Amino acid sequence: MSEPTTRARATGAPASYEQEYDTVDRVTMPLLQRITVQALDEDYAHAARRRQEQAGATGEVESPRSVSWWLWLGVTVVVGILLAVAGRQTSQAAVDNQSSRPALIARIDAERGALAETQERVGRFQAVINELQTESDRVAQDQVSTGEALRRLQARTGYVAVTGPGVRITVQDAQGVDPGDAIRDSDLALLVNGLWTAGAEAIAINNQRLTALTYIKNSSQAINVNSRPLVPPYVVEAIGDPRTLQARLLESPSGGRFEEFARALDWQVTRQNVDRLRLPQAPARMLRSAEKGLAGNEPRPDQEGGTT
Amino acid sequence: MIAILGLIVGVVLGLVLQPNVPLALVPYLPIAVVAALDAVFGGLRALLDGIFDDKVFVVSFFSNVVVAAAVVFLGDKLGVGGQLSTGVIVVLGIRIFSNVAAIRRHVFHA
Repeated sequence: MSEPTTRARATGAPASYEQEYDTVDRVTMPLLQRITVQALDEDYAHAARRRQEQAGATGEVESPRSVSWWLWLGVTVVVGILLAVAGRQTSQAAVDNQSSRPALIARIDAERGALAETQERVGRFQAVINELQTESDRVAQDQVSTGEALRRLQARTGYVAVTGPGVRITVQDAQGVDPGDAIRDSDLALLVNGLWTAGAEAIAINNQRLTALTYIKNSSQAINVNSRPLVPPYVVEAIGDPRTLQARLLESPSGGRFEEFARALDWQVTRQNVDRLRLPQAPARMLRSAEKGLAGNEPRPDQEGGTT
Repeated sequence: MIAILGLIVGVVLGLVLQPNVPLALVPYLPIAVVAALDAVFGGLRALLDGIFDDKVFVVSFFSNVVVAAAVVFLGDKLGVGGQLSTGVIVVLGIRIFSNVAAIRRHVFHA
């Protein structure tokens, strides 16, 4: 490249784009050609023409402006800086892209592995959950059936209040009876035995529920049931089928004997079918000596071996 | 000579100083460089045509750079940044080519 200052030639101002082409040409000119024709900024032509006109007006020939060294140097330095910075940015971006790609791939691989591992753990836990769920279902079922068994057992043994249809038999001594001929524990026991025989499912005497541990016993005058003295009249309530209970009571041996005593000693006995009796639960008693046996359905080795 | 010297000095300055380009301006830097090249080649051609004017050159240099970056910025905001920067590069590239061709005619008379 030659020295800029010496290249400044004193030539006439070249025709500008606007002078060279009229409006129609400019409008119809293809875009690419227009860009090519206009490649040089028109301002140069404008400035040159203005200078020429000024020179023509004043009559002196002004040489075209020379280019100062400093301007040239400054502009090229700026261009150089721009080039360097842009190049550095581009290469840096490329380096960033290249270095981040393998790192990303490695991370993806690692996370994928972790994901697979986690999914495997999820599967294992799911299996454990299913197992536990089955177990829980089984235990819940056991609990339900055991609860039912317990309620049945409690109702049968008298440790829970029950309601149902049945018979109420009120027994009272004759008026002014000799204390020796008064109703005794054995008489009530006869009646209770008769009721059990007749198919009673639950019995209470004066609101004292009879259980497997209940005894009926005289202490001096009073009859004790569940260690509580009873006050006459004795109200024996039995839950059972009201249609058959009384008849079967009379048919049973102990019921028959009770009837004989009652007639002989002139007790006042009233029998009454009741649609809905409510028998209370017996007071719970601690068992000290008896220990819990094996579960109901399991075989009992001692009995199996012992009985013939 | 001065041009080559200035270019070398500029490149060295740019590499040594490593000016920190704001992150928002990074996408417009290549466009600005192309616009600056266009202005430089235009100025060179005007010089060889004998109609060079330093004021025109300086103004066209900076306005080219700023306008090119602004057009691409606007395109980015409108969602057509890629297409607009392609358009700017095409126009500036054609101008550079035709200016360089004119310079070649001046230098080699061919």
